[in-house]
Amino acid sequence: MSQTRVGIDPITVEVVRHGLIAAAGEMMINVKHAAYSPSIHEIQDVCVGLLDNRADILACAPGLPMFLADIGEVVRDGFEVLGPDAFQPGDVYISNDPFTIGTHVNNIATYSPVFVEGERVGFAVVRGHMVDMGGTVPGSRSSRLTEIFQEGLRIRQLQLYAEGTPVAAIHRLIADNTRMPEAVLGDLRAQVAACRTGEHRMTAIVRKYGREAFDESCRMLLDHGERLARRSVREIPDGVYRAEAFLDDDGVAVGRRVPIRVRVEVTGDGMTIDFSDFADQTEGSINTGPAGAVAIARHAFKCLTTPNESPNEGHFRPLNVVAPPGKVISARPPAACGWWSRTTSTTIDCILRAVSDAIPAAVPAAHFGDIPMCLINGYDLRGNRFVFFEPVPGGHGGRPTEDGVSATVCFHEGDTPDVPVEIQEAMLPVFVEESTLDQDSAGPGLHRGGLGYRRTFRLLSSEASMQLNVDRHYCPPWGLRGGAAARPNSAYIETPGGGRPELVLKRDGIRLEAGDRVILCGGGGGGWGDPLERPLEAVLRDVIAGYVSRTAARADYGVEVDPERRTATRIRQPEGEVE
Amino acid sequence: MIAAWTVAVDIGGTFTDLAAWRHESNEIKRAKVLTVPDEPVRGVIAAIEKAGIELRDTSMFLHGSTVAINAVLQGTGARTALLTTRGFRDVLEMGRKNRPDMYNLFFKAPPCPVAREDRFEVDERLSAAGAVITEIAEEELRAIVAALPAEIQAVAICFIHAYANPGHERRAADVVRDARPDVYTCISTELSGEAREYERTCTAVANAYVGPLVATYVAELAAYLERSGSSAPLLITQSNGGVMTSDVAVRQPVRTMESGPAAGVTGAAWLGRTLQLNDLIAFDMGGTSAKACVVQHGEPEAAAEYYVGGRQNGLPVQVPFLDIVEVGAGGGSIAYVDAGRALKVGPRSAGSVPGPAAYGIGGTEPTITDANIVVGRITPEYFLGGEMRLRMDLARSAVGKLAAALGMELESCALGVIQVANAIMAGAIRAVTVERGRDPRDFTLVAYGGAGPLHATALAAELGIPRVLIPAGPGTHGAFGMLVTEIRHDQARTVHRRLDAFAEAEMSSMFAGLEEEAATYVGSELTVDIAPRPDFVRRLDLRYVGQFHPLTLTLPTAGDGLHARIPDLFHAAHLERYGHNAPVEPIEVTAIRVTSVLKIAKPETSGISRMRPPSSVHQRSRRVMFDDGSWHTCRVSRRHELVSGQSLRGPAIVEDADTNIVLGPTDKAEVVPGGHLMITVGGTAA
Repeated sequence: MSQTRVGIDPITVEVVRHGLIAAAGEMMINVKHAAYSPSIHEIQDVCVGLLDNRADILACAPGLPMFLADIGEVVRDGFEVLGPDAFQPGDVYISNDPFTIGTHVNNIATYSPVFVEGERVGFAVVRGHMVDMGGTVPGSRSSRLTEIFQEGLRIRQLQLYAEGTPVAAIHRLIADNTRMPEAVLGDLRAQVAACRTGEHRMTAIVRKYGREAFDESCRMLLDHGERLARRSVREIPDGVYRAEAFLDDDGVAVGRRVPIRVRVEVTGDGMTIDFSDFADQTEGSINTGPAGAVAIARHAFKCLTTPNESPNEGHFRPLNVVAPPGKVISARPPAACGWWSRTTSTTIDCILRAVSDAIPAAVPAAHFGDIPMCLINGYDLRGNRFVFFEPVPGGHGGRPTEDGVSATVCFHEGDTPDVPVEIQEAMLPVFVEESTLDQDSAGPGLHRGGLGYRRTFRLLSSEASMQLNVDRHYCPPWGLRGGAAARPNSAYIETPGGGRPELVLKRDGIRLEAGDRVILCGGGGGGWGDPLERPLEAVLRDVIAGYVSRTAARADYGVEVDPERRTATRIRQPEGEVE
Repeated sequence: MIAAWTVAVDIGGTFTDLAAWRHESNEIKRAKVLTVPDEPVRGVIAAIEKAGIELRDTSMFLHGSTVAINAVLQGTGARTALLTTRGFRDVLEMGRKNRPDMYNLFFKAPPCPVAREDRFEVDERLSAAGAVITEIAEEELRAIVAALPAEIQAVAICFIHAYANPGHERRAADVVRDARPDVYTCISTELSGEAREYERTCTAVANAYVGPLVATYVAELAAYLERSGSSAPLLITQSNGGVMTSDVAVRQPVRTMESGPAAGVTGAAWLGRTLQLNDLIAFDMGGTSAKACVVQHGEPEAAAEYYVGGRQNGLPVQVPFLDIVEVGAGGGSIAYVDAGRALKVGPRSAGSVPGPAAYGIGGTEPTITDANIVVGRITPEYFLGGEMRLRMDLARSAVGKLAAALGMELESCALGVIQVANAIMAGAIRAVTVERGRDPRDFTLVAYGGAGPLHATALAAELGIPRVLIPAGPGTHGAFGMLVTEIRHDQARTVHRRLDAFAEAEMSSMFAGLEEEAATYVGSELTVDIAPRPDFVRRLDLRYVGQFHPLTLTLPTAGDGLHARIPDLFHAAHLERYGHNAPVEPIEVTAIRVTSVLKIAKPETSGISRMRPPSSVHQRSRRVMFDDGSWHTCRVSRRHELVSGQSLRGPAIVEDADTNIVLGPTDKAEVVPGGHLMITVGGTAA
């Protein structure tokens, strides 16, 4: 048989690429099925990837879209701490140090080198959220904590398996420092099993095509990713673009705004995202290490350049991230990092807003911008202890082409379905009165934002307690190109006979009495374009559907609607137009 | 009247296929005609005429169509109103609030077939246990129904926790039917007894949305059968691989959404049983997509969830479907060079119009079919048994443009298109095997559809699958699958119970109640060729306390001590599926399920097994490029000339009426009883 596969053709590259993506997909399914914690198998707080020998991502499967940085960082940090040649076949190392790999201590990365015929060809990495790493509070995070030391066990580059054998000492150390050793060790086993799957699949690919062809294919697939991304950056006009917003507070210095400032510089086919003017790290636990800045910047960059491609390192080569030490998203020890996720979605929105003047057709207005959190803990209907948390969805921004999407999870989250009301009520002492789109919550615009969400519920047990953590109440989702801001996130508690519902944004240990109502509101999406230019039929349709009230149609859109007769009349003209 | 034939007709996107079985002689007839999208019944008539079957000679007529699924995918269903519990009007519009298309700033909202002004909240509320918290406000409901716009053609009703007590839904349906008898009305709990308000609402809405169309279509078809002198009962195929009476189909059309692909899997399972092959991967590659489904121990695998239109942007429906994984690679899938200068294949398809370039009816973009022609794997002059002639020159010029853009040789580029397509399809097979903890080396790949047999051996080699089975008549295998099915109904009910606190007597009586319900769907006036009473299969959805996803366990036929063995059966099933279990942990039951099956008479063979060679044999050879990138001289034979027991050695091409079967250089094959081709794949350890 003659061999015509001389050098590397585009076909081999594409076939290897599919093989690596399939391998990452298999690792993901592996870890999700074997995992013990709902945070991994339901909330997708997990990320897997295969890396080349230099720790560049060849293929990955991020459970949450935010996880685009740390799986490479953990191996690079390993090179630094352990030395590049420290790895033996069968080894597994772990790290959860936020200051080197980002996020918070709950996230443990495990990684193993992949060896074929005695030579190292790459790495398999899995990173998942552990339910508890010890520290001051169960779950290892609270808005009251102010130092990493209160948030539990911090680990940097320790060996979990030595040449295939579990290292007893580190297992003991972890077991002794978490409130839930079975769950944590169980999840770690699942992560290691997924690393092994990754090793096997990668080995099979290398064997099939040969080391040289494999390496060359990897090089080419990263180059291909880079070409796609650079091509997209070239379409953004050169320039320096800035935007800013703010968070309500860090949970400790209540009422002190936390500025989110970004600077984006586009030159040719390269982009710099600069966080030099970002808020300095705070006392409250909304910080994370420099890998956080990288993850946020990559997320925004990916949305702008290669949204439909399965991520690899090549996609990020045109991106340069500047984050001086000591900022909220590039914090130094001993900053507390538990609620690091507070900043991510708003920062992405700021990056998008910055470039929106340059590429108006490619950027929607702001979304609701946060993960409004409501955690309930207590005893379920069968007497078992539970901790339930559900991120509240909200509206996404109006788009240059169409209205925004309503009631969907924020940028930080992706394919994370909610828990159905019928399941919640069957398991937990809650009664949901309504779960609905919130009228008039969308930012008005030529293309309005998506509608926000409202959930009203009661707790049926006085033994349960609740923690609320809601931000972006004072910085509503903005509009673009003349579009207006949307109704922001909020949460209220209403007591019978207590008059107006009380606004409660961040509070721990809330006890509710029978009859008390909690009202959670995910904000709307900002509007795009002048609302006075919205076609009459669209305003009429919105009023008939009840997305917009007649009052708001009049005030925000300058349109008088008669829903009975199905007529709409413009009572105010866009500026600059004469009747 | 001689009731000699059972006739099955399967309408697909491109072709309408027929398979018919003559009872006395065990003869099988097959026919393939083009689908008539606007008047599907015309395609049915054409297929029957082509097969030369007299409808007055039929004893049973089985049928599957794409009428329901097309209405959903194309948004052409009825204007539907939805009645919901107060506070839950937007459940349908919001979906599960997730964002699978996670980096796309322009991600799409979930599909919403009912406009908000056509969704009405009714005062009523039940608890999770089914207790009435708020009585249904019938006066208010009457006012809503009286005010429904005249254009409303269908009404779906779904109330919170109705799975635990369908009383309110039934009363609401009575009110609607009294006031608007012209309107198609359905309630969620008649379709699904399971919790999850979004999925159950979608199920009721999808059913109502396609109901009027399906009712009209079934009536038209029944009228045609009657006009043709047939009194044969009309049975409609379901997405669970079974069939149902046309009455049930009109009430529950949502059960027919994926009936075509399911029928193919049923056919594969039947083949496995006939040939004593336990574990199969049914692989169907047609014009626009490829599908894979596992059959284990003779049973096709059921899906835990299903979305009409795909997981990312489809409508979930809570009725039984087979676990079929689909990828966008079919004969018509287009190959192109992307912005980063890489070769990509699909999911865009040339379909049947304009079709692959080689069809010569307007297509100019290179497709997988064109690539197969260029490397010699398809015989251009024997397409559809010679009814259609393909153009090698057009195939070469389409692939040539792609090759030039990539700086490759024409033939290497064509081979590359096939290899990339195979990498994509291998993903579908991996999804149903390795990703579910199964080793492909334990399976036989049953390949059918117009393009399946072309790619099967290469895919098997890639995945280490040792054997490939090409059924007789691979191009009409879906229609054949309908001939070997059963009347079937699946019924389920959500429960929330610890297994150790679920007494045997109570569980038994719940099962018996479900069986009684299920029996009403399969027991009917039908008397011909049907078993007198249904068989039942009992299943439980179980999980460890603290887990989210349950595992469905099929219970062995009841026997002494079965109840006590359930925990062990579950531990074993968990180990098999996920590779681990936790025998000390408590188990909970989340649903009980019943399948009722009424057996119908079916053929014992699926094709003609020729015992002696025909007088003239069409022996030729030609050069074909294989995956090693080199040309091999291949023996070319015709399928209908092969005799039972005959063996073949690769490299070889076997021309079938609807497709070509490719044997790689190291593959071997044998014609097994029934006329099927069993291929031993070279380079895989059996």
